[in-house]
Amino acid sequence: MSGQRERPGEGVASEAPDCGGVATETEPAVPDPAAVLGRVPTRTSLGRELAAAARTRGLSSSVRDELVEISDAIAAIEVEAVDLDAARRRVAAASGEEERLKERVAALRGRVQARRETGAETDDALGELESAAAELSVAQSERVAAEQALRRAREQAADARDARERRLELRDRLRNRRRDARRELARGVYPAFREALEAVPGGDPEDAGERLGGYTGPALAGSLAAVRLARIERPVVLGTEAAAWIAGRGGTAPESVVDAAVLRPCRRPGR
Amino acid sequence: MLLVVTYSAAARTALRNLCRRHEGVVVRRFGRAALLDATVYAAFLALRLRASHGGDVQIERTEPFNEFATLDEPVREAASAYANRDAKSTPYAAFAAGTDHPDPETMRGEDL
Repeated sequence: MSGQRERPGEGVASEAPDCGGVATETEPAVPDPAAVLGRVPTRTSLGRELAAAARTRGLSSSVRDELVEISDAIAAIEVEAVDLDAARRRVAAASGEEERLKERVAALRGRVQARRETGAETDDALGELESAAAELSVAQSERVAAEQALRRAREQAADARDARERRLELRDRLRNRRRDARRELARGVYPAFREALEAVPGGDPEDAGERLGGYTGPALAGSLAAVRLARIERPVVLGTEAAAWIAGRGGTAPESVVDAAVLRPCRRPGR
Repeated sequence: MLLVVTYSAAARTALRNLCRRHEGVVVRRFGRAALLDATVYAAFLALRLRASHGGDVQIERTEPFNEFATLDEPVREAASAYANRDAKSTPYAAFAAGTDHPDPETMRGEDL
């Protein structure tokens, strides 16, 4: 337990299995489109693909500045470690020791009393009682000091938690704004997406439906159409699945399907 | 009872999962916090959460509140008198001034 260290951002990604939904310290305010569309299958949602495609076409959302602002605010928050382990342990140990000595003093007192009643010699018992009482007094001071130290540590922890709370609020707000931005951008290119579906194997403009969210076609065809309408400088990496999809549906050259340079998957040895 | 408060999205999700999986120990759930019952098992679950998420998890122990055992009568009386006051816009300090009701600054300085 005492070895517990902070792991900033570690758990953040695990909350968003749909990937890229939450900003971490290293993530840019606005995601790099090439990171979303650079390979097919993209392993992300159509909305994210279309938003990325829109960004390559020079579109930016009305909340772009706000995204940058929130990201900067998150980056500026300094989060101190909260570790009260040692302080709590010290209080527990000091209280335990104090209890033990209290019991010992009470027992010794009883012994002195009993010896007095029977007229027995009490010097030794008194000596032990005195030294136990002295130990108890030391233990009591230590317990008080430990409690004060814990109180101070708790006050510092409260400040650190204020910062964490603020960061969490900002991250939540960033996530919501990014979702707004993605919707806005994806809507902006939806007509172009519908059109692009025409040129993609397995794609059909009818599948696009009325509006964003209405797409009912195969995910791969949707991804290929999104890549096709994007203006991408770097070659797109086509996975085996995507290459087979294109080859198996009319054999159009992958380059003309996605309207970009294409890198084929590496063949596994022995195949 | 145990009050568990989270301070990151991951810790919040983990607490939510804990509450869903171990309904029996949950006394009440709030957005990113929960009250767990006062059992060793609930404490064990809370500790596991903190072991995974460090400073993003705060564990506190709560005590039942009994105003009849903890507070003097004038404080209880002042609370109910103020709640039933005639002039709704009167702040408590003004309400208490010149009466036997306890002064807010005095109460602030007193530990329970």
